Amino acid sequence: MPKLPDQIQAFAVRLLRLQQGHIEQVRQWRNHPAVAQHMLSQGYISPEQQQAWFERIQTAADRRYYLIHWRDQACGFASVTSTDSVPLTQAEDLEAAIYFAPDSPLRGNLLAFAPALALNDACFAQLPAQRLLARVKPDNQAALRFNQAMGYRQIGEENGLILLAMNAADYQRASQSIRALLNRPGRGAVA
Amino acid sequence: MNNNQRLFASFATALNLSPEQVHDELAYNSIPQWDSVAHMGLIAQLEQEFGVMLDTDDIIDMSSLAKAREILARHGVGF
Repeated sequence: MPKLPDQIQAFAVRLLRLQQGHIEQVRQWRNHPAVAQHMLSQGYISPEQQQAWFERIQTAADRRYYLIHWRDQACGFASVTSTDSVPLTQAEDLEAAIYFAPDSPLRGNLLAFAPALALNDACFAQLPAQRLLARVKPDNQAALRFNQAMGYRQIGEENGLILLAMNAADYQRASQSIRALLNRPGRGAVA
Repeated sequence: MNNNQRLFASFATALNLSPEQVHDELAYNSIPQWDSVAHMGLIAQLEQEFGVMLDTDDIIDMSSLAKAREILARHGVGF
């Protein structure tokens, strides 16, 4: 049965499956105003709530969470969830999302696409997903532009959020130029 | 137009800024216009304007206008 790996490595970033030792860092990022303002729920998350959430997700087959690393530095959080609690291994629609630490060097940089592409590639390659979905707050123009650059298209609105979707073909076509830039050799590489 | 003026004009075009908004200290995340998508457009604009091909490290390091000048100079563009 296909499934997401515990580690995804592509485009110079590494996504590691979320572990107990990561969750306090993630909680601090998530509570930071720069991150929280774009979240669906704005409330403060306590250490106890975070721990309870982490324990709940241990057995959840409909979601997977990763910590994003660049140059061995933890710098963001990635998630994949299915709609309607269907296991990831059976879902046709998945919702993929990432956010960066407030001080992440990937913010506002072309490299911000790297973990998103790594995650999307894994979803389409390792799972039977037919579409990826994203829900974005209307005032989060940067996220809308970011998602549209990867191939997402608006398909509607849901509870005041903009609903975006893309299939594998849209994604491959739209992300081609981003991949080309991310796959360029580093400095000093021999052609 | 000298190379410095071309650099400033490239930034204004790629980031959709007025000429007054473009200065050496202009850095990503300092203005909403310079996000990851705009960063990609900026790279394309600079490569086209100066006839260079930047490597991944250059792209990642290009975090301000001053840094862009430094990177382009390394690729043989005179300022």
